[in-house]
Amino acid sequence: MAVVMLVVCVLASIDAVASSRVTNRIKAAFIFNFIKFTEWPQDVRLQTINVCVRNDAGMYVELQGLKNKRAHGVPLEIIQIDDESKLSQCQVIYFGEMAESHLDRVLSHLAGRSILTIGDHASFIQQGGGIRLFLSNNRLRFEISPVAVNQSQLVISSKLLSLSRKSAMHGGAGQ
Amino acid sequence: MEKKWLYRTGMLRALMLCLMFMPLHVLAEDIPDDLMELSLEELMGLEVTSVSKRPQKQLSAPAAVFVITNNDIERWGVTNIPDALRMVPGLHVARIDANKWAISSRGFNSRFANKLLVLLDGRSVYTPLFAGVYWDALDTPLEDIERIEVIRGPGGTLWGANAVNGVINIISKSSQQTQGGLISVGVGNETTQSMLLRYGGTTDNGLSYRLYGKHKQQDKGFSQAGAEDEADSQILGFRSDWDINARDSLTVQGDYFQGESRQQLSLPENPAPAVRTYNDNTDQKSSNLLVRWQRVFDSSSDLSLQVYFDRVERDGPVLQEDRNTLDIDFDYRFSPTQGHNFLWGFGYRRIMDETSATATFRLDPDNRNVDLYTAFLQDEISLLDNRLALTLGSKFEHNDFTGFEYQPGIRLAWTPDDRQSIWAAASRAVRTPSRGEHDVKLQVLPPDPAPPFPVFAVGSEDFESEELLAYEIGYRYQKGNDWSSDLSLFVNKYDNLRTLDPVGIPVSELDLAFGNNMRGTAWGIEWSGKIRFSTRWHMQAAYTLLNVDLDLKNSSQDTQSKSSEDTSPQQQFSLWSAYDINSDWQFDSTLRYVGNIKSPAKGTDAYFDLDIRLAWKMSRDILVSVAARNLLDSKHPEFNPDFIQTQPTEIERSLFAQIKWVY
Repeated sequence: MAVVMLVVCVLASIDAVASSRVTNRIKAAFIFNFIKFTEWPQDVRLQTINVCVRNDAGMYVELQGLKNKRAHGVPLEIIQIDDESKLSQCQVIYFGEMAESHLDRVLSHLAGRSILTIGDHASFIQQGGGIRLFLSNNRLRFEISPVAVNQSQLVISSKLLSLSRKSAMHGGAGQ
Repeated sequence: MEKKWLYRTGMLRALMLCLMFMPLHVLAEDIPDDLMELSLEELMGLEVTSVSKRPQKQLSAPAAVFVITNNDIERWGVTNIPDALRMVPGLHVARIDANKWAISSRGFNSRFANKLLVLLDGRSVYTPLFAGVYWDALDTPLEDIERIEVIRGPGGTLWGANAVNGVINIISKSSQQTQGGLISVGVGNETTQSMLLRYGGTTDNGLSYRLYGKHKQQDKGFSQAGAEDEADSQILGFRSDWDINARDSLTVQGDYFQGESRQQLSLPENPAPAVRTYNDNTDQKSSNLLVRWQRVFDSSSDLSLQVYFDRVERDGPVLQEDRNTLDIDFDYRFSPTQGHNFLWGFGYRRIMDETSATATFRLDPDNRNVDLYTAFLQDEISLLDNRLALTLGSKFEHNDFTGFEYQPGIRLAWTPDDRQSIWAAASRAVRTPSRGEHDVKLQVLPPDPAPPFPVFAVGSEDFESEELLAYEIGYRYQKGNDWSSDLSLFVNKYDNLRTLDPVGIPVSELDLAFGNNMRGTAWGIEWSGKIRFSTRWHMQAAYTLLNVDLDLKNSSQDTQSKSSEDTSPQQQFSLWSAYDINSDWQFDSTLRYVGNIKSPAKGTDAYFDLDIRLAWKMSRDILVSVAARNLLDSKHPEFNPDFIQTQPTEIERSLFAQIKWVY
């Protein structure tokens, strides 16, 4: 009855806040894996991989765990972006909560650049985002937008793609 | 009593209290430290809380909500659901004997507390015969509970009648979360044996399932009167979940419970005022089957259809009933335009009972079918760029006893920033008559001084619903993960509360009929807070203040009902320290205070108590724990019965050791 839905959708506790940090930690680990399984085009010579965070202080904190890591032979840099004109310096961007219309504008502005965009907004993929993280049965899942990824000339490994398909089977909502 | 407690707190007890506050090192989350080293497959297997995705939403829930997680239940070292509810602000949990409980929200406690609705995975376990909950027959394995959500205050707008002062939702884990095997064996001096066997698997087409069996034995409490109140129970159950496709999922679950609960009873005998006292037992067999289909259209729209069948056979010295319940519920949620979140649904329930008269109890008619039709709608409106949420809604229902009932509510939540929120609510809720209040003739123990004729409580066709107008306000603040505070205040205005008024002039017997001749006001403050000192140590506290004031209407000659203003303590508080000594050892301690209760009967004294638990993760798969409860006193009484005079027993200091093996 009403219970099941409401419980998930409307009511919740402050208790769960502690676990939002856990969720962020897991998300950060997902992002690290996404980076490992993504190839940037040859003509982009990377000194560092800049992992940017827009509008999510909690994720910025948890992504610090990637600071001393390396991927594709270069170190990772974690950058908090306040000025959106600086987004073009990023190789990876994680988008926190923001108004749909605004997100739409930012993403269309970035289209075609070799930037891996990640977010968990329900319509992130429809808006042109690359990878969307979502919860299904209390576990994090992700879906990949083939269109956005092709446009960006990034090469996503088949392993990542097959895991995202498995995610879709388990409730990749939003289509 | 408080002073007495302080004097009696010897060295050992002082040491325990010290231990409780000692800053060792703790890790609360069951999440590995080296997340970055995990593969994607491993990450996809990690569990997170579903609600955490929308922290602002949680912060701004426009109601007094408290959530108990599976981890909390495990760390408190409890062996039953009632004990797991003791840390919730606003609730009063009291044990009457080893298998009977009085649990209520915001006052009016009784073994037959009738203003609190309890649901297990959407199935009502509120007993329509006498109102209240048979807690002894609610023995779902604690290991399978994902969380318990307690909503204080009226929930009638969504949940319907009887959610007057609160709703408890017990939510079990999806079978996807209980894969593999689990063996849990516990022994102790009070919960003498507890054993759970569980196995979960997944078929090729993605259908997951679990099967479980549990056996539990409870020792009797302390009684000078020689009461024997042992209990034992068996439960066999299953749950299966199937994601049919990306949109549809199906859950089927059910269980079979069989239990025996003993008690010492004092029953009136003829000729009055003779009373016979003896030990006897109540047997219960119950089974249920629930099917739920859910379809998710997108993040703001989904529907669910749930059907369940529930059968209860309860056989005791006073009460013999067979009851079958069929319940159908349909819910649909959608967002018609930006800023509106619409929820509506309807339901039907048929309760079919067959009862047998005993010497002191009968229902007229013996067998009865009761139909309940319900519908509800609610709109959640987002204003001021999602900073303000207005929720309007009402439940409408029709029952056989009082006909049409409506329960509207309005809630407003303002979330000025991501750290704090203020909410306020006004709602109307009703408590509809139970079958007993309508149809019973129950011979009760004679009052003092005893009249020379038998005394009966008799049901009445004129008994109406009890009504509540509730006004609530709350404030939440959370500073990241460091600390949080949740405060709520309420004023409840009751009318048509139940009374027992003498009918006519007693000749050969005195009849007291159920009526609605009382009104009253209750107000209270509830607070809970959490503070995290380090990743390994956090504490949680709760405080409850409650004041209930009832007034009989002029016409009433009731001499008992007004005392229900004194069946809950005025003040309670609890403090929990959760502590991880290192990644393998956990130490938890809980201090609880419950104020004195003046009624029913002679009441019970205030008490302090302390529970501790030490757990050791022997390996990845084996957890060993020892829990000691009620350490500050060798025994203490918590509550007295009403209506049916079972001998209350005292709760004793207990020790419980458990080993859990996951494979």
